[in-house]
Amino acid sequence: MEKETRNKAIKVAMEIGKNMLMNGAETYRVEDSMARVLESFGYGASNIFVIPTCIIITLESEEEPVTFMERIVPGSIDLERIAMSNQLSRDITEKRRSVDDAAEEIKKIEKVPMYPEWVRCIGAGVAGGFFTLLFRGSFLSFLLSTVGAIFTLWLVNRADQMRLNFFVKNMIGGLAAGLVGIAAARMFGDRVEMGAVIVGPLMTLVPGVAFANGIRDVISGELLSGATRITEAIFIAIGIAFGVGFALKILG
Amino acid sequence: MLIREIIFAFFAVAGFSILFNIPRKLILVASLIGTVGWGIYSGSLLLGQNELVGALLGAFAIGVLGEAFARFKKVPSSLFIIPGIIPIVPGYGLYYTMLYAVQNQYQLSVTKGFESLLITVSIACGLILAATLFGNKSKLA
Repeated sequence: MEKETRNKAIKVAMEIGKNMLMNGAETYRVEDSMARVLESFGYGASNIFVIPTCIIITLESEEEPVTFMERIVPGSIDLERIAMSNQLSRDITEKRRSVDDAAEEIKKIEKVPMYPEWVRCIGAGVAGGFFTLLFRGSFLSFLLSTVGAIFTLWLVNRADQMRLNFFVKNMIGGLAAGLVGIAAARMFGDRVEMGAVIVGPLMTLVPGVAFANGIRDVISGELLSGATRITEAIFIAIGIAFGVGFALKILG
Repeated sequence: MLIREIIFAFFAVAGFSILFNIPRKLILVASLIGTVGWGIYSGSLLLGQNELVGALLGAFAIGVLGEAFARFKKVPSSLFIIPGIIPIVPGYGLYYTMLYAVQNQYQLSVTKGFESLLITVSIACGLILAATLFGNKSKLA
């Protein structure tokens, strides 16, 4: 019985940590939330190790220490799920939720819908279009880049559904953005800046946040976690560059 | 010119907030925080500061505002910081580094790469500084 409640508590902490990590939360925040959850369930002596691809929890106890490990596949950033998981860990810390109660709530968090795809596509269009303007594109470039960003995200989402590897997925994204830029330059000639049209759609793929989080981890002493994130960011950038470079080489 | 760019940055951050699936009622705040950060960054460039100082100040402002609104709205500060730093973060620089490399322009690639790395370190420092000074004390990092 004692063991059963303990395992349940670890599972809850694990799921909360997993939900935060998969959806793009910083390493220190994940470790901190998990430690607090376990502490308020009465397991103060815990060792938690988090890197973007794995979580390990070990509980010390007098009879036998226990270790749980879970492999994590990093996903895309989802701030709503981070917020909900954080709220749940806060509720647990303030003793408003029991272990079973929390396990129910986790199921709910996993089912929360994202924005529908067309809204996300419009978001990508707005982001891409205005970045083109920030890089001093003309109004025509703005329009083309908006269309390009919508098209690129749609294509990347399809690649996601086919469970393509992240490198290939970003290569496809880069290729799409490059092709839109080249097509724009062919159709409108000097009235659009090809570079600025390619920039917009790319901004939605480019791994700026992953890179910044990685550097932040390294500076705070989380070397392994930081190295993982930075490596991922660099290879995403290489994938995009391959895609764009390919498009420019063949057709540019 | 600066004002026009600030408006562009606002919409760019708003677009990213939606892509990152931010809760609906926080879109406006997150976009405003990102806009302020970008305004400070490009304002300091206009005043002749170098990019590293600009990025540090901009990220610091985003961090401080993020922590403040995190307490006020009772959500983690990442919700404001992750979309907020998007316009400053040299994701595009990282891409250029690799594009130059695949086009055999190695010197340009190295230059761009170091520039991006240092700017990102600057941003991380700004964020950590803000978290250390104003963040929830148990969440130092």
